Order: sequence, then C-alpha cells, then structure tokens
Amino acid sequence: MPDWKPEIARRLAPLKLDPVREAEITEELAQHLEDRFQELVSRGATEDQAQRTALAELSDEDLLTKGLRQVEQEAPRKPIVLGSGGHNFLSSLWQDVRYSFRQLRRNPGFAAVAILTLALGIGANTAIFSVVDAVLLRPLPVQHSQQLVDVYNEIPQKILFIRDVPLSYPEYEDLVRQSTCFSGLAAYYADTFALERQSGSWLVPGMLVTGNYFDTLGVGAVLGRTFDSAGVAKPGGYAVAVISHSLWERQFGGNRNVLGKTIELNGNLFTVIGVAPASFNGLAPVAAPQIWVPLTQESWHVMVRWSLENRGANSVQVVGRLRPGRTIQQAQTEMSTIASRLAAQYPKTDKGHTIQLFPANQVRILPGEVDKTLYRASAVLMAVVGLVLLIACTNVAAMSLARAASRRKEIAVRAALGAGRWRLTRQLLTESLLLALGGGAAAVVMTRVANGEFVRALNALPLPAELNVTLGLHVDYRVLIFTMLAVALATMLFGLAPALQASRTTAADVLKEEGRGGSGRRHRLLSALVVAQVAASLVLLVCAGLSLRSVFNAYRINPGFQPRGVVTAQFAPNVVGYNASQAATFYDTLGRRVKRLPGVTSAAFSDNLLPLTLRGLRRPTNVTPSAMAASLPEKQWPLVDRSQVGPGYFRTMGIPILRGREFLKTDTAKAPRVAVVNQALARNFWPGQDPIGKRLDIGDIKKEWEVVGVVATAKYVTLGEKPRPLVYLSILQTGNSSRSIVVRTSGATTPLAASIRRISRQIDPKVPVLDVETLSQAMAPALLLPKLGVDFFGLAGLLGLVLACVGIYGVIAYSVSQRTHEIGIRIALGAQKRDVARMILSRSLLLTLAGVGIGLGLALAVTRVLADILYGISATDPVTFIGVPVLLVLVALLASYVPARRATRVDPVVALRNE
Amino acid sequence: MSEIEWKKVSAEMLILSLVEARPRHGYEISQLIEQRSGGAVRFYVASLYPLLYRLEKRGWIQGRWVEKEGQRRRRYYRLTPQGKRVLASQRRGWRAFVEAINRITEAENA
Repeated sequence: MPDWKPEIARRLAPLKLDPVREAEITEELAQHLEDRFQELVSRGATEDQAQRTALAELSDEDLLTKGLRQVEQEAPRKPIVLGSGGHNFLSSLWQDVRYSFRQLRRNPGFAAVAILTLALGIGANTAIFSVVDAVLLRPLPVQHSQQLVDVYNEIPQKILFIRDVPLSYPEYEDLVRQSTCFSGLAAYYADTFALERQSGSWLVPGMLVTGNYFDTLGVGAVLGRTFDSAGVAKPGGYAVAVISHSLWERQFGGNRNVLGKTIELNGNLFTVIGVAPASFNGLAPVAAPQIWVPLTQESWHVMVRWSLENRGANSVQVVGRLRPGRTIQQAQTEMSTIASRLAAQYPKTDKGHTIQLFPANQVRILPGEVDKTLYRASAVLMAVVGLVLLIACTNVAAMSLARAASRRKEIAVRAALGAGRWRLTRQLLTESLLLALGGGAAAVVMTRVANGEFVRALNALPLPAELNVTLGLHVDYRVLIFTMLAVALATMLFGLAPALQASRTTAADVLKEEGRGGSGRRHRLLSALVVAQVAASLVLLVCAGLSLRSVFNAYRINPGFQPRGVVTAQFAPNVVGYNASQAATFYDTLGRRVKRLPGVTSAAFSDNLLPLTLRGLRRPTNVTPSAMAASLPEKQWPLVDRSQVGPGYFRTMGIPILRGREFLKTDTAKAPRVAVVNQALARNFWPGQDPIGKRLDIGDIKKEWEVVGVVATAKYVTLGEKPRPLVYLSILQTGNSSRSIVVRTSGATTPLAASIRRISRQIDPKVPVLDVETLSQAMAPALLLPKLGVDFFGLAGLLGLVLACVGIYGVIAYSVSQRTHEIGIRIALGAQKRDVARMILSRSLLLTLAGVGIGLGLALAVTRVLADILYGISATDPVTFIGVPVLLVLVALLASYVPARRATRVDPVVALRNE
Repeated sequence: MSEIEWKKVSAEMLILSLVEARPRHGYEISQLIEQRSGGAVRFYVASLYPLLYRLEKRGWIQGRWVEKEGQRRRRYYRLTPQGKRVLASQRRGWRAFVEAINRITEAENA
C-alpha cells in the first residue's frame, strides 16, 4: 500500500500552514487517496496504475495548492461568483474591463455621448488647470529651483497694497559683501527696450542683470555663452547681450551665425554673445524677457544709472541661491541682522526696512496681495469649471440610470448566478471608469488645442509692448495627474449612485416588476439629478449673464472723456540720452508739426498716465490744502492721483472744464505754480466753496500750487471705480522727459498714426516712438479683465446650458418610455393628447422649478465674489436673476417637448400589447 | 459558458445539498456527485477539499473526526443552520434563474 503522506506534504509545503492544520489536512487527503486507490484496484486496475491515477487527481492543474492557499491563508469570505475568476483580484479586474468594453461597444451611441459629455467637463477643468499650473504651480525652469530665494525689502508703510518692494542696488551690494548663506546673489532690473529693426523700433521686454545672474540661476546658453562676472566688469565689457530663444528664432531665423552680430537697444549697440534656452523665462512666466544685458555702474541706461547710485531707489530684484545645507530660516536670520545694521547706518533711506526672503518657487508676481489675488482668481476659475464637470457628471449619471433599467435582466441573471452586490457594483463602476478614461483622454487632446488657442488669443491682444506671451502652456505630469483625479472623481460622481442602485436589483425584483413602471427609487434619484443639474446650470448662467450685462454697461458708461478720434503715441527721448531742456525742445517741435497735419483739430502732451490705459505706474501722492498742511504730518495727507498735462489737453481729450481755465503755454517753470483739480477733489477738499484761487501742498514737491481750474471727474483706472480725486499739474512746470501725445482728428486715425511716427523720425530717428495707436486701442487692456470674464463665464454658461438641456431631454424621454404602458391606459380610458402632453410637461416643469429654486440660492451666494469686476450693476441684478431662470425654464420645456409629443402619439393597443 | 464556470457556480449548492440529509465524508461526497450525475460532473481531491474547507470556514458546513470500529478515522461534514439558510436561498435563486432563462429562451423561440 502506497504511503500518500509524503506526496501530500510535498504539495502543502509551499503554503507554510500551521503544523497542526497541515497534519489534519494531510490525514484527510491521505484517507481520500487511499479510498480512491482501493476503489480503482477493486475495479481491476493494477496497484501501479491506481497509484498513478490517484496522484494525478491530486496534482490536477495545481488546483489543490491554489485552492488551499485561498482558503487557508487569506480566508476570503467572498462567495464563488460566476465570472469572477474567484482566485485573483487582478485577473478578475481584467475580466471586468473586458466585459465593460464589450458592453460599451454594444451601445456605441451611449458611449459616445457619455464620453463627449465627460470630455467637455473634464476638458474644461484640465484646460483651466493647465493655465493655473503654468502661472502658479510649476517650479521655475532653472536648476534646483528649491534652493532659490527672492530677496525683498519690506517697507513699514504700504504703497497701494504692496509691502514687499525690490531692493536698491547699494543695498544689494551690501548683501553681497555681508551675507554668508548664499552661494550666489544676483540682481536684475526688468525693463522694456526699444529694439531697432528695419521696420522701426519696437518695445521688447528685457532685463539688465548682474554678471553672475545666469550662473546663480544655473542656466547655460544653448548657443554661445552667458555673461561671466569678470568679463562684464571690464571697461567696455558690458556692451554684450544674451537673447531669448524666441527672439533668436523670430529676429535671426534661428541662424547659428547670430553670435557676434550687433543689435541696437535704445540707440546703443550690443554684441550678441549667446542664446538662452527656450524653457528659460527669466523668472517671469507671463512676460518673459527677450534680451538680457549686463547691469553695470557705467551704464548707458539713464534710469538705471540713477538707481544704481541711489540707496532710496527700490529698483533691483534680487535672487539668491542658498549654499548647500543652509535653510531659508538661517538666511532669514542673517538678513534681519544685516537689515537692522543697514537701518542704523543709513537711517534716512533704510529706517524701518526689513529684508524678507521668499522661496522663489512661491513668488509669482509679487509676494503678498498681488500673488494672493492671483490665487483667489484661480480658485474662482477652478470652482466654475468644477461646476461644469458636476453638470456633465449628473448628465452621465442620469443616462447610466436610464440605461441600468434596460439592463435589469442582465444584472438579475448575474445576481442569480451568485454575483454579490460588491461584485456587480465593481463591474458597473469599471464601465464608468472606462467612460471617464475615454473622456479624460479626449480632454487632454482638447486641452492641447485650447492652450494653443489661448496663447494665440493672448498674443493677439493689444498689449503695451510686444510681450510674446510665453506661458509655456503644455500638458505636463501635473496636468495629467490632475486629469486622472478629475476622472476618478467623475467616476465616483456619476458611476457610484447608478451602480449601487442597479446592484440592489435581485432576480425576484425583476420578475415582479417585469418591465413595468420601473422602481420608485430610481425615479427619485433621476429626478434629484435633474434638479441638481438645473441648479448648477443656473449658477453658471447667472454668472455669465452678470458678466455680459456688465460689459454692455462698461461700453455704455461715460468715461468722462471722448476717446473716439484720438490718436496717442509715447516718446522716450530720455533713454537715448536727452536731458530735460533737449527733451522740451523735441516736444515743442513735434507738437507744432503735428498740429499742422490735415484733419487735426487739437493736440497736447501729457505724462504717460492716460486714463483707462495700463501705461505708466500710478503712484498716488499725499496732497492737502495748503491751509491744512501745517496741522497734519505729511504721511497723513490724503493719497491722491496726480497727472502732468500740457496746454490743450482737456480740449483734446474732451474733458469738460467746469470752472476757471486750463493750462496755458505760459504756465512754465518760470511762472507761478498752478494746478487744475477734478470735481471729486474739489468736493473733498473744499466742500461748498469755490476752489479757484485755493492752494495745494503736494507731498514730494511740497510747494504751494494755486488751483486755477476745475474739470469734470473722469474714470481713470477702471470703468467701475468710484469718483477718484485727481490733481493735474502743468507738464511745462514739472518737465517730464518721457511724454505721450494725444491728437484729436476729424479724419481717419490710421494715416494720422503713421504721420506722427514719421514726424518723430524726421526730428530724431533715434528717439523711440512707442505705442502709436488710437486711445480706444490703448484702453482695450484695461477692459480686458471684464472681457475675459465674459468670454469665460459665457463659455462655461453655454456649456452648462447645453449639458443641462441634454440631461433634461434624456431624463424626460426616459421617463416617457417607462410610462408608455400607463400612458396607453390613460389614452384608452379617454385621455386627450393635450392631457398627456400636459402631464409630461408639468413633471419636467416641476423638476426645473425645483432646480431653479435651489440654483437661485446658490447663485446669490456665489455672485458676491464677482461684485468687484462688475460695472454698473449689482451682483444681485434683478434682470439677470429673473431673465436667466425664465430662459432656463423655457429651454427645459423645449427639451421635454419632443418626448411629450412622442407620448401623445402612443397607440394604446400597441402599448398594452407590449407586455 | 464553459464547463468549468458552471461547475463553480453549482458546486457550492451541490455540496450543501449532499450533506443536507446526513453528514458525509469527502470521498463519499465526491462519489455521490459522480454517480448521480452519471459521470458528467466529477470532483477530484484537488478541487473538492479546498471547496469543503471554504464552506467550512464560512460556517455553512462543519467537519468532525469520527472513528469507527476497524477503520481509520474520517472527517464527516454536516450542514449547519446557517448553511441551511444559504442552501434555501441558493435554491430559490437557482429556480428564479432557470425560470428567467426559460422565459428568455422561449421568447426567442416564439
């Protein structure tokens, strides 16, 4: 008699069972084999044959080991389920995937609509996220960017809302000498240069940088070399430039012989020594510099030369690379020590200043309020597209629910065969996941297209300089991870409820129901989905409506001046070395000749702060009536906008003069100092009095200025602003060297613009002429934000509306098809077509109204954040809040009209026989 | 559907039914299955015992060593109260399934 135990033990060995349990199993199996052996022998087999057969049955396809491993080691409580594979999670998952795939292929229409819907929802999210990613999240494109810190001067009193300002160059030099925490500290000064081309001079963004800038950032040239500190410091060694990859391609056609070529910047010649990598954006993701030139003491740049020597000029951005092993906290401690030392040494300029370090990766535009606004705006954008995704998901959920109804038999059969609830749920979720993955893939493609369009649109904007927006939008791994998360979320949102619902079905349910009516639970869920969808769409549409009305308003708001027919241009003789009196002569000649042009009715000069344009930096000054000047410290004088304008300015701009006179040719530096104020200032300073003849003290000029005129208050920064007090000074008295000209013409503006450029070139071809355009064009960027708002909300709202329509249609159509039987009975009992249609429509109306009610509540809460960018309407604008719901209800009725009509055509005979 | 899949589904029910009337040992169960199915369904040692242990672990059947005169001891399995309930529900489900299948296939033939 064979000994079975060693054979069995050999097979059980890999399972490493508890010895007692193993002995027990061995004994039981041995007994079985022995019985089998005896049986085979008794039927006439030889002992040898019998032994072999028994052992073969024991070894059968490793079933024993596999089966026992499952039972004895993992102790699964899962029942054996048809089609589960039962043994391996991965293999059963694969089975689910294949099964789902077959299911979807069998319903290509459903799959296509679902994938398209999800693609829109996920795509909107991915597209916006890729912008947020590029602007806010992506680390700087330099080596070990986590070691970089931005160095800022923190000032005791905010200018506007800014507390952290750049350092001055002398302070930078002190830091270089005194700090030990950095392996490199570089400074840069961002500016726009007038780049000479055959077609004229163009403004391009650029940077003046210290010689160690590229080394500190760890950026090398892709062609030629970057600056080296020693070479730049040599006398005459600074006339070299590194150009950006995109400028290299546009200006020099990507030709390698660009090295050694000269380019002319602001009238100075520079030799190109290198080309920066395409990915390098100079730490400024939106307006990447195109040219880098050295920042040196003997600079050719007037502004820079001034600020290099001036400890009070907060003009250079400083970035440092921490030495290995040093933390930002250690560096911060050291900086604080240095700052207090400097404050003691230079109390006049540095008192109260502290030096603040920020991880360079976290600073986007300016630390503090500016960046915070950026983050807040991103959050709003993401919330809105999140809403679109929500709508898309409820849509697909509704479709899945409806579809689940027609799959009840399939599900019941699987349940009867022993498939557990979890198993069925998982199967249905797998289908949802496949759909969401399809949607995600389509979304990535859509994002790439959208990014291209977005950058093209940005570059087509009338911006003050040729910015060549290089957001560097692309689908990176962060975007992909985000998409995967969106897919997962979507699956949960639209897949889970229908799956749980469907898996509750049992065979008995199906047999009881037998296709009639459908379950009440499913209907309730469907109705809830429609309500949610309508509510979400309403929120989007209200936002869209408000933005739209706001922009219409913006175009209707009287800006307080007449931009139509006005051409403007900006001149910068200072950058090519003009002093104040040379500049004055230049403008004098220019003004005389422009006025002689045909069609020109008036022309005037002003500083570059034209109203509602983004030109120039508005820096409000402390102003007070001279009578009050002694009683208040200067810092507590009201902050007021200030503008320098020449004779004829108000006439040219169409700003009404309410009292007194405008500036005259005689209001020069030699004449008494005069000022014109706007009505808002007059009312603030001298309520109920005649302002003419009153005197003003102005913070940084501090002399008495006599008010000679009052003009109407215009809009200066945004169309929505409250009246802003503003004081005008005579540009002939302040003597600005960079000025803008405004020219009013009764004729065409395009030839006038060309003539202005031509005249300037005739006087001196070296003087950069910038931004020759109509005033309306110059104002476009200021209207950009609300316009982008309309585009964005309009698109999101439209998307929501379309999706909601499809959803409402789908659900109503489904419920009609479910009620065919009932409708047949009604018709057979004498119901009129009208009654049937009314029944269907009233149900859809009911759902829509419920959604509208909830949506209105949400919208009221949401639109509050929009209040800041709305012009001339409140965030609770009644027209929008009534119009949008009405529109939505109409659309919903339209969407249910088709199914309602179908219902009226139900033939009772067919409907009843259909059972 | 392959033969293997059918077997898996029904195997649980088969075993539960076989130990319903009285306790049986593993070899006996395998023989009964083979005999009653006229040899169409067979459970060899390698597939039978993992299944038995699984049912036992779930608490649907319970095994006990029994010694009889002149024989080595054998392990007998009997249906537990929980097993009884499971078997009843599986039978109901099975009937519903067969009924459903019949309806479907009849409809196809009609």
